[in-house]
Amino acid sequence: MKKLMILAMSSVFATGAHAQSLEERVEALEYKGYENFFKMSGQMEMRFDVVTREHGKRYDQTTDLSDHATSVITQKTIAAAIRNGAGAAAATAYNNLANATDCGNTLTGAAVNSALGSTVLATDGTNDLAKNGCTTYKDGQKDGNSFNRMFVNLDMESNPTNKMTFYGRLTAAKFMGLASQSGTAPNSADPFYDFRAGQIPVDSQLWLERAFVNYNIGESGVFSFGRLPTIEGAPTNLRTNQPWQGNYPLAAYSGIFDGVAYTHGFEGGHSVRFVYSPFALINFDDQIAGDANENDRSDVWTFMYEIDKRVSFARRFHAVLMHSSIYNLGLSGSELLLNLDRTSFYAEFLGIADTGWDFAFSYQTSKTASENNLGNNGNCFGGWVSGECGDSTATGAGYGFILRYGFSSKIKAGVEYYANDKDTFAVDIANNEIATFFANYGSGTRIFYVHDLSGGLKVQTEYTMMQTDYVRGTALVGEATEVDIQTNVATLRLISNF
Amino acid sequence: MKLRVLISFGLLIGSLTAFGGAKDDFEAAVKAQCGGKEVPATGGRQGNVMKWKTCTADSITIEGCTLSCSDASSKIGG
Repeated sequence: MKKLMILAMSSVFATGAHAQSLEERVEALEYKGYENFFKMSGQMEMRFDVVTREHGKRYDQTTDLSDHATSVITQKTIAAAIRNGAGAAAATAYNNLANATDCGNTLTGAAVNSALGSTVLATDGTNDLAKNGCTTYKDGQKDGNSFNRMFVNLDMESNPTNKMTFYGRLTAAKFMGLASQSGTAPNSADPFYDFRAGQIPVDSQLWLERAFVNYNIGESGVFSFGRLPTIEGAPTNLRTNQPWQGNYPLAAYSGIFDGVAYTHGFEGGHSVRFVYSPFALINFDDQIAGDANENDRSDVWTFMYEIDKRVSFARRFHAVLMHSSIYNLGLSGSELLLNLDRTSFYAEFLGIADTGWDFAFSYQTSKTASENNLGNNGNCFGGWVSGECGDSTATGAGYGFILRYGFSSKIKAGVEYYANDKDTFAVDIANNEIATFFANYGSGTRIFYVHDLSGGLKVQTEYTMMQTDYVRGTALVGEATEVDIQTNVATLRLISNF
Repeated sequence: MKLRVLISFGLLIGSLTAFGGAKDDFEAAVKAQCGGKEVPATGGRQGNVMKWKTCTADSITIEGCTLSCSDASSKIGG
């Protein structure tokens, strides 16, 4: 009976968590010290988004690289034939016609002849151009949708000895009531899917988001290995009023990195950290032979300096200076190699001057070097963040800030801004936002409000306005195409921690 | 034992776990962030104990003192 009463109190008076006294807290921690069993906790979120999107310019967005490449090569071949026969002016006119043809349609030789007023192409179908593997967005096109999604984290912790701690997280991200689907859903065959496993809503499948061990070395060192907690980094926590949920700030990387790390702590809240993350380039049909283009090793080396302390003008100052180098990252089916140097800085000041004001700043700069380009056999589709056909280097940056006010420790509201220039390596691979600032070539502003309700439920709402100025043909590869896309998203989150 | 009773703190207050246990970290945090306030000694507990996950926000206020929260499971090195 006593147990039942305790359970009932736990359910009904979960607000007791917030009224817990220092003594009770110490008692609980003492008790924790006696226990070394496996513990579970977690978070469940229901998220509702309503999104509108408006295109101010017409453009074609690649949806299937292989199909789109076939269309582009066909267009180039036909244009070259026209140039040799009817001349450069006719070839230019043909390219204009081809570029104006919507994806999914076919530009026939007869239509070209008719438009040019002369016979420049055969009409037997051999010179037809089928534009596939892309979607055309028209000038003034407006789209909108609503999303009902669910995100579940099941966290595990085990302290088998005083020297070692294990942390794990199983994650599911799904659309609610997925009853019908079209298009290509993200799956394990996608490149880089491992870096966002469990983050992109699909179905009820569980993914291993993190699983790592911390092993204490001496008084100040910690050796870590496994699938590391590198996503949902700062400043995500400020919008959801949580502690940091990932160690890599979003401006650094948003991707799940496996690897090994050594952290060394110093007096005064300083620490330095080295992380080594190997990439796997696997041919699952023959893992030993592999792919001729992918025999080189690819690695990520990361150095971090972190400070987390109380300072004279803020209750908490938490910052990370981080540099990562990616070497020799190949892209399946091409000779394109990526070498990326990325430096980022994130700092947040909480409780400034004993007021409720918080401020955070993000900055990153990327030097993206490509060897070769995405095309094969003389066809050029550009390099990483570049339209160049040979080796190329692009340098760009992004920056942003959050200003937040806390009406109490449970009620906070603020504004976020972030912008990337068109030459930076704009990546946010593990994001599950409808409009993600860190992968956007443009700028975005977001206002948010978060309220921890009594009883353990948290409500968060935000409104996002994002302007996209450029897109690239295939992810971050190729020349930037100038666009004008305005995306607005209204979001409501219900979050339960248990 | 009921699952709810087993549900425990997932979040710890403090810095690197390498520097001490959760209780030591908590007491150090109170002293550092609450103007040197001492944490009262306790006799511990026996039997079933409810444990609350207190740090679902980035800070908590206990007895008028605002303490910053950290999530050891979300940090490389704890």
